Amino acid sequence: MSDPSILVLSSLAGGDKHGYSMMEDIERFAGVRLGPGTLYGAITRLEERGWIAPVACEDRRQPYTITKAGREHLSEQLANLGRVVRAGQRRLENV
Amino acid sequence: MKRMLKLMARLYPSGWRKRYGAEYEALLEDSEPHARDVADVLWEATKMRLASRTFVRIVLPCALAGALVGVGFSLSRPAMYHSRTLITVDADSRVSLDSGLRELVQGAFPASFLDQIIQRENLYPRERERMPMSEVVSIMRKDIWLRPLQKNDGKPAMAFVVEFYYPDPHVAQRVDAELVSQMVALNVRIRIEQAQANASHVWEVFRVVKTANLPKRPDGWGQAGFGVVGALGGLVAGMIAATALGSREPAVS
Repeated sequence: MSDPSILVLSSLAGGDKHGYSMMEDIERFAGVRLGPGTLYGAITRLEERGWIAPVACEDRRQPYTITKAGREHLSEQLANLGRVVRAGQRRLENV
Repeated sequence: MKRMLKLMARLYPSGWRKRYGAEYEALLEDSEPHARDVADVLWEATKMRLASRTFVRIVLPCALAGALVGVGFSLSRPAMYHSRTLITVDADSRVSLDSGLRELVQGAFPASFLDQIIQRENLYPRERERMPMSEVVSIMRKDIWLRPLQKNDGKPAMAFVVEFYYPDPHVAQRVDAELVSQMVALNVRIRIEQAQANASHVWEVFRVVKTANLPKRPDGWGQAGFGVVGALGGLVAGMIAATALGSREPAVS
Protein backbone atom coordinates (compact mmCIF):
# COMPACT_ATOMS: atom_id res chain seq x y z
CA MET A 1 0.00 0.00 0.00
CA SER A 2 2.20 2.80 -1.21
CA ASP A 3 0.07 4.78 -3.68
CA PRO A 4 1.07 8.36 -2.74
CA SER A 5 -2.36 9.77 -3.68
CA ILE A 6 -4.21 7.38 -1.36
CA LEU A 7 -1.69 8.04 1.41
CA VAL A 8 -2.14 11.83 1.09
CA LEU A 9 -5.94 11.53 0.99
CA SER A 10 -5.88 9.22 4.02
CA SER A 11 -3.71 11.69 5.88
CA LEU A 12 -6.01 14.62 5.08
CA ALA A 13 -9.07 12.56 6.03
CA GLY A 14 -7.82 12.98 9.59
CA GLY A 15 -7.67 16.78 9.35
CA ASP A 16 -6.12 19.63 7.36
CA LYS A 17 -2.33 19.53 7.08
CA HIS A 18 0.56 21.18 5.29
CA GLY A 19 3.25 19.24 3.38
CA TYR A 20 5.61 18.46 6.24
CA SER A 21 2.74 17.41 8.57
CA MET A 22 1.47 15.07 5.86
CA MET A 23 4.94 13.61 5.41
CA GLU A 24 5.25 12.91 9.16
CA ASP A 25 1.68 11.62 9.49
CA ILE A 26 2.07 9.21 6.56
CA GLU A 27 5.35 7.90 7.95
CA ARG A 28 3.61 7.32 11.30
CA PHE A 29 0.48 5.52 10.09
CA ALA A 30 1.81 3.76 6.95
CA GLY A 31 5.54 3.37 7.68
CA VAL A 32 6.28 4.99 4.32
CA ARG A 33 8.40 8.13 3.91
CA LEU A 34 7.30 10.06 0.85
CA GLY A 35 10.13 12.08 -0.70
CA PRO A 36 9.43 15.77 -1.31
CA GLY A 37 9.10 15.19 -5.07
CA THR A 38 6.63 12.33 -4.66
CA LEU A 39 4.61 14.20 -2.04
CA TYR A 40 4.24 17.35 -4.13
CA GLY A 41 3.62 15.29 -7.26
CA ALA A 42 0.66 13.71 -5.45
CA ILE A 43 -0.55 17.06 -4.06
CA THR A 44 -0.41 18.55 -7.58
CA ARG A 45 -2.41 15.72 -9.13
CA LEU A 46 -4.97 15.62 -6.30
CA GLU A 47 -5.56 19.36 -6.49
CA GLU A 48 -5.96 19.21 -10.27
CA ARG A 49 -8.62 16.53 -9.87
CA GLY A 50 -10.41 18.53 -7.19
CA TRP A 51 -9.87 15.91 -4.49
CA ILE A 52 -7.97 18.27 -2.21
CA ALA A 53 -7.99 22.08 -1.92
CA PRO A 54 -5.68 24.63 -0.33
CA VAL A 55 -6.91 26.26 2.85
CA ALA A 56 -6.62 30.07 3.03
CA CYS A 57 -3.44 30.82 4.96
CA GLU A 58 -0.80 33.55 5.24
CA ASP A 59 2.05 31.17 6.05
CA ARG A 60 4.30 29.67 3.39
CA ARG A 61 3.36 26.29 4.86
CA GLN A 62 0.21 25.86 2.83
CA PRO A 63 -2.34 23.55 4.48
CA TYR A 64 -4.69 21.40 2.39
CA THR A 65 -8.09 19.94 3.05
CA ILE A 66 -9.80 16.94 1.51
CA THR A 67 -12.88 17.85 -0.57
CA LYS A 68 -16.19 16.02 -0.72
CA ALA A 69 -15.14 14.46 -4.07
CA GLY A 70 -11.85 13.47 -2.48
CA ARG A 71 -13.62 11.73 0.42
CA GLU A 72 -15.80 9.83 -2.03
CA HIS A 73 -12.79 8.79 -4.10
CA LEU A 74 -10.84 7.70 -1.01
CA SER A 75 -13.82 5.77 0.28
CA GLU A 76 -14.19 3.98 -3.05
CA GLN A 77 -10.46 3.16 -3.24
CA LEU A 78 -10.36 1.87 0.34
CA ALA A 79 -13.43 -0.30 -0.31
CA ASN A 80 -11.70 -1.81 -3.35
CA LEU A 81 -8.57 -2.34 -1.34
CA GLY A 82 -10.58 -3.90 1.49
CA ARG A 83 -12.10 -6.40 -0.93
CA VAL A 84 -8.62 -7.38 -2.16
CA VAL A 85 -7.34 -7.70 1.42
CA ARG A 86 -10.28 -9.87 2.49
CA ALA A 87 -10.01 -12.11 -0.59
CA GLY A 88 -6.25 -12.50 -0.07
CA GLN A 89 -6.71 -13.38 3.62
CA ARG A 90 -9.46 -15.93 2.84
CA ARG A 91 -7.24 -17.62 0.26
CA LEU A 92 -4.28 -17.69 2.60
CA GLU A 93 -6.40 -19.31 5.31
CA ASN A 94 -7.64 -21.97 2.86
CA VAL A 95 -4.15 -23.05 1.80
CA MET B 1 21.58 18.54 0.61
CA LYS B 2 18.73 20.99 1.29
CA ARG B 3 20.45 23.55 -0.86
CA MET B 4 20.79 21.05 -3.69
CA LEU B 5 17.12 20.04 -3.46
CA LYS B 6 16.11 23.70 -3.52
CA LEU B 7 18.22 24.23 -6.62
CA MET B 8 16.69 21.15 -8.21
CA ALA B 9 13.23 22.65 -7.73
CA ARG B 10 14.21 24.90 -10.64
CA LEU B 11 13.94 21.85 -12.89
CA TYR B 12 10.15 21.90 -12.44
CA PRO B 13 8.06 23.80 -15.02
CA SER B 14 7.74 27.50 -14.21
CA GLY B 15 3.95 27.27 -13.84
CA TRP B 16 4.40 24.65 -11.15
CA ARG B 17 7.07 26.69 -9.39
CA LYS B 18 4.84 29.75 -9.28
CA ARG B 19 2.03 27.77 -7.69
CA TYR B 20 3.93 25.41 -5.36
CA GLY B 21 7.49 26.77 -5.16
CA ALA B 22 7.18 28.63 -1.83
CA GLU B 23 5.44 25.84 0.07
CA TYR B 24 7.79 23.26 -1.45
CA GLU B 25 10.75 25.24 -0.11
CA ALA B 26 9.06 25.45 3.28
CA LEU B 27 8.73 21.64 3.25
CA LEU B 28 12.44 21.27 2.47
CA GLU B 29 13.31 23.62 5.34
CA ASP B 30 11.20 21.63 7.80
CA SER B 31 12.15 18.12 6.75
CA GLU B 32 15.39 16.18 7.11
CA PRO B 33 16.43 15.37 3.54
CA HIS B 34 17.62 11.89 2.53
CA ALA B 35 20.09 11.10 -0.24
CA ARG B 36 17.37 9.33 -2.23
CA ASP B 37 15.34 12.57 -2.28
CA VAL B 38 17.64 13.78 -5.07
CA ALA B 39 16.45 10.98 -7.38
CA ASP B 40 12.89 11.47 -6.13
CA VAL B 41 12.85 15.19 -7.01
CA LEU B 42 14.60 14.62 -10.35
CA TRP B 43 12.07 11.94 -11.31
CA GLU B 44 9.05 14.05 -10.36
CA ALA B 45 10.46 17.11 -12.11
CA THR B 46 10.96 14.99 -15.23
CA LYS B 47 7.38 13.73 -15.07
CA MET B 48 6.07 17.30 -14.71
CA ARG B 49 8.17 18.35 -17.67
CA LEU B 50 6.85 15.47 -19.75
CA ALA B 51 3.33 16.75 -19.11
CA SER B 52 4.15 20.35 -19.98
CA ARG B 53 4.28 22.14 -23.31
CA THR B 54 7.97 23.00 -22.87
CA PHE B 55 8.66 19.28 -23.18
CA VAL B 56 7.64 19.28 -26.85
CA ARG B 57 9.23 22.64 -27.61
CA ILE B 58 12.53 22.41 -25.75
CA VAL B 59 13.17 19.23 -23.78
CA LEU B 60 12.24 16.68 -26.46
CA PRO B 61 14.37 18.32 -29.19
CA CYS B 62 17.31 18.51 -26.73
CA ALA B 63 16.91 14.81 -25.88
CA LEU B 64 16.79 13.91 -29.57
CA ALA B 65 19.81 16.08 -30.27
CA GLY B 66 21.62 14.39 -27.35
CA ALA B 67 20.76 10.95 -28.76
CA LEU B 68 22.07 11.98 -32.19
CA VAL B 69 25.27 13.36 -30.67
CA GLY B 70 25.69 10.09 -28.72
CA VAL B 71 25.20 7.92 -31.81
CA GLY B 72 27.44 10.25 -33.86
CA PHE B 73 30.12 10.04 -31.20
CA SER B 74 29.98 6.24 -31.20
CA LEU B 75 30.18 6.19 -35.01
CA SER B 76 33.20 8.49 -34.93
CA ARG B 77 35.06 6.06 -32.69
CA PRO B 78 36.27 2.77 -34.10
CA ALA B 79 34.78 -0.30 -32.44
CA MET B 80 37.43 -1.86 -30.20
CA TYR B 81 37.94 -5.61 -29.82
CA HIS B 82 39.99 -7.17 -27.10
CA SER B 83 41.74 -10.51 -27.23
CA ARG B 84 42.59 -12.19 -23.94
CA THR B 85 45.07 -14.81 -22.71
CA LEU B 86 44.76 -16.47 -19.32
CA ILE B 87 47.98 -17.23 -17.47
CA THR B 88 48.41 -18.97 -14.13
CA VAL B 89 51.38 -18.57 -11.80
CA ASP B 90 52.75 -21.32 -9.53
CA ALA B 91 50.80 -21.21 -6.28
CA ASP B 92 53.79 -20.98 -3.92
CA SER B 93 54.38 -17.39 -4.91
CA ARG B 94 56.02 -15.25 -2.25
CA VAL B 95 55.72 -11.99 -4.13
CA SER B 96 52.62 -9.98 -4.81
CA LEU B 97 51.30 -10.67 -8.27
CA ASP B 98 50.54 -6.97 -8.65
CA SER B 99 54.14 -5.94 -8.18
CA GLY B 100 55.31 -8.88 -10.33
CA LEU B 101 53.07 -7.72 -13.17
CA ARG B 102 54.31 -4.17 -12.95
CA GLU B 103 57.86 -5.44 -13.21
CA LEU B 104 56.90 -7.58 -16.16
CA VAL B 105 55.27 -4.80 -18.14
CA GLN B 106 58.38 -2.70 -17.77
CA GLY B 107 60.73 -5.56 -18.53
CA ALA B 108 58.87 -7.57 -21.15
CA PHE B 109 57.58 -4.78 -23.34
CA PRO B 110 60.41 -2.31 -23.98
CA ALA B 111 59.71 0.42 -26.51
CA SER B 112 61.89 -1.28 -29.14
CA PHE B 113 59.82 -4.48 -28.94
CA LEU B 114 56.50 -2.63 -29.23
CA ASP B 115 57.97 -0.54 -32.05
CA GLN B 116 58.71 -3.76 -33.97
CA ILE B 117 55.16 -5.06 -33.51
CA ILE B 118 53.69 -1.72 -34.59
CA GLN B 119 55.75 -1.76 -37.80
CA ARG B 120 55.18 -5.40 -38.59
CA GLU B 121 51.41 -5.37 -37.97
CA ASN B 122 51.02 -1.84 -39.36
CA LEU B 123 49.28 -0.76 -36.16
CA TYR B 124 47.95 2.79 -35.56
CA PRO B 125 48.51 4.02 -39.16
CA ARG B 126 46.77 7.40 -38.58
CA GLU B 127 48.66 8.08 -35.36
CA ARG B 128 51.98 7.23 -37.00
CA GLU B 129 51.34 9.82 -39.67
CA ARG B 130 51.00 12.67 -37.22
CA MET B 131 53.08 11.83 -34.14
CA PRO B 132 56.52 10.48 -33.23
CA MET B 133 56.93 6.74 -32.68
CA SER B 134 57.51 7.19 -28.95
CA GLU B 135 53.97 8.59 -28.61
CA VAL B 136 52.51 5.78 -30.70
CA VAL B 137 54.25 3.30 -28.40
CA SER B 138 52.65 5.08 -25.42
CA ILE B 139 49.25 4.68 -27.07
CA MET B 140 49.92 0.99 -27.58
CA ARG B 141 50.90 0.59 -23.92
CA LYS B 142 47.45 1.95 -22.98
CA ASP B 143 45.84 -0.77 -25.13
CA ILE B 144 47.74 -3.53 -23.30
CA TRP B 145 46.07 -4.62 -20.07
CA LEU B 146 47.45 -7.03 -17.49
CA ARG B 147 44.85 -7.79 -14.87
CA PRO B 148 45.41 -9.96 -11.79
CA LEU B 149 42.37 -12.18 -11.18
CA GLN B 150 40.48 -12.68 -7.93
CA LYS B 151 38.83 -15.75 -6.46
CA ASN B 152 35.11 -15.75 -5.65
CA ASP B 153 35.89 -14.78 -2.04
CA GLY B 154 37.74 -11.67 -3.23
CA LYS B 155 41.22 -13.00 -2.42
CA PRO B 156 43.83 -12.74 -5.18
CA ALA B 157 44.10 -15.79 -7.44
CA MET B 158 47.54 -16.69 -8.72
CA ALA B 159 46.43 -15.96 -12.26
CA PHE B 160 46.17 -12.99 -14.57
CA VAL B 161 45.00 -12.12 -18.04
CA VAL B 162 46.87 -10.31 -20.78
CA GLU B 163 44.59 -8.31 -23.05
CA PHE B 164 45.16 -6.26 -26.14
CA TYR B 165 42.59 -3.83 -27.54
CA TYR B 166 42.46 -2.98 -31.22
CA PRO B 167 39.83 -2.10 -33.86
CA ASP B 168 40.61 -5.29 -35.86
CA PRO B 169 39.81 -8.51 -33.94
CA HIS B 170 42.32 -10.64 -35.89
CA VAL B 171 45.10 -8.14 -35.22
CA ALA B 172 44.09 -7.97 -31.55
CA GLN B 173 44.43 -11.75 -31.33
CA ARG B 174 47.80 -11.90 -33.12
CA VAL B 175 49.32 -9.10 -31.07
CA ASP B 176 47.99 -10.50 -27.80
CA ALA B 177 49.58 -13.88 -28.62
CA GLU B 178 52.87 -12.15 -29.43
CA LEU B 179 52.84 -10.16 -26.19
CA VAL B 180 52.23 -13.33 -24.21
CA SER B 181 55.01 -15.28 -25.91
CA GLN B 182 57.36 -12.40 -25.14
CA MET B 183 56.31 -12.49 -21.48
CA VAL B 184 56.71 -16.25 -21.22
CA ALA B 185 60.14 -16.08 -22.91
CA LEU B 186 61.24 -13.40 -20.48
CA ASN B 187 59.91 -15.46 -17.59
CA VAL B 188 61.96 -18.48 -18.70
CA ARG B 189 65.09 -16.39 -19.30
CA ILE B 190 64.92 -14.73 -15.91
CA ARG B 191 64.31 -18.06 -14.17
CA ILE B 192 67.40 -19.52 -15.83
CA GLU B 193 69.49 -16.47 -14.92
CA GLN B 194 68.27 -16.52 -11.33
CA ALA B 195 68.91 -20.24 -10.99
CA GLN B 196 72.42 -19.90 -12.44
CA ALA B 197 73.19 -17.06 -10.05
CA ASN B 198 71.81 -19.06 -7.09
CA ALA B 199 69.38 -16.22 -6.39
CA SER B 200 67.42 -16.38 -3.14
CA HIS B 201 64.17 -16.12 -5.05
CA VAL B 202 63.41 -17.59 -8.45
CA TRP B 203 60.46 -16.22 -10.38
CA GLU B 204 57.35 -18.35 -10.58
CA VAL B 205 56.53 -20.30 -13.74
CA PHE B 206 53.92 -18.73 -15.99
CA ARG B 207 51.57 -21.24 -17.61
CA VAL B 208 49.32 -20.22 -20.48
CA VAL B 209 45.94 -21.77 -19.70
CA LYS B 210 43.88 -20.16 -22.45
CA THR B 211 45.59 -18.80 -25.54
CA ALA B 212 44.63 -15.48 -27.14
CA ASN B 213 41.04 -15.70 -28.35
CA LEU B 214 39.51 -14.19 -31.46
CA PRO B 215 37.04 -11.61 -30.12
CA LYS B 216 33.63 -11.79 -31.78
CA ARG B 217 31.99 -8.65 -30.43
CA PRO B 218 33.40 -5.16 -29.92
CA ASP B 219 33.75 -3.73 -26.42
CA GLY B 220 31.83 -0.87 -24.94
CA TRP B 221 28.28 0.42 -25.07
CA GLY B 222 27.75 0.39 -28.82
CA GLN B 223 25.63 2.91 -30.69
CA ALA B 224 22.46 2.18 -28.70
CA GLY B 225 24.26 2.73 -25.39
CA PHE B 226 25.78 6.03 -26.49
CA GLY B 227 22.39 7.04 -27.91
CA VAL B 228 20.65 6.40 -24.56
CA VAL B 229 23.32 8.24 -22.59
CA GLY B 230 23.17 11.13 -25.08
CA ALA B 231 19.37 11.25 -24.82
CA LEU B 232 19.52 11.33 -21.02
CA GLY B 233 22.14 14.07 -21.13
CA GLY B 234 20.00 15.98 -23.62
CA LEU B 235 16.93 15.51 -21.41
CA VAL B 236 18.65 17.06 -18.39
CA ALA B 237 20.17 19.82 -20.55
CA GLY B 238 16.74 20.49 -22.06
CA MET B 239 15.18 20.78 -18.61
CA ILE B 240 17.90 23.19 -17.54
CA ALA B 241 17.47 25.16 -20.78
CA ALA B 242 13.70 25.29 -20.32
CA THR B 243 14.25 26.57 -16.79
CA ALA B 244 16.82 29.14 -17.90
CA LEU B 245 14.58 30.40 -20.68
CA GLY B 246 11.81 30.78 -18.13
CA SER B 247 9.21 29.17 -20.35
CA ARG B 248 5.84 30.62 -19.64
CA GLU B 249 3.36 27.85 -19.61
CA PRO B 250 0.16 29.10 -17.99
CA ALA B 251 -0.32 26.61 -15.17
CA VAL B 252 0.46 23.15 -14.05
CA SER B 253 -0.58 20.76 -16.76
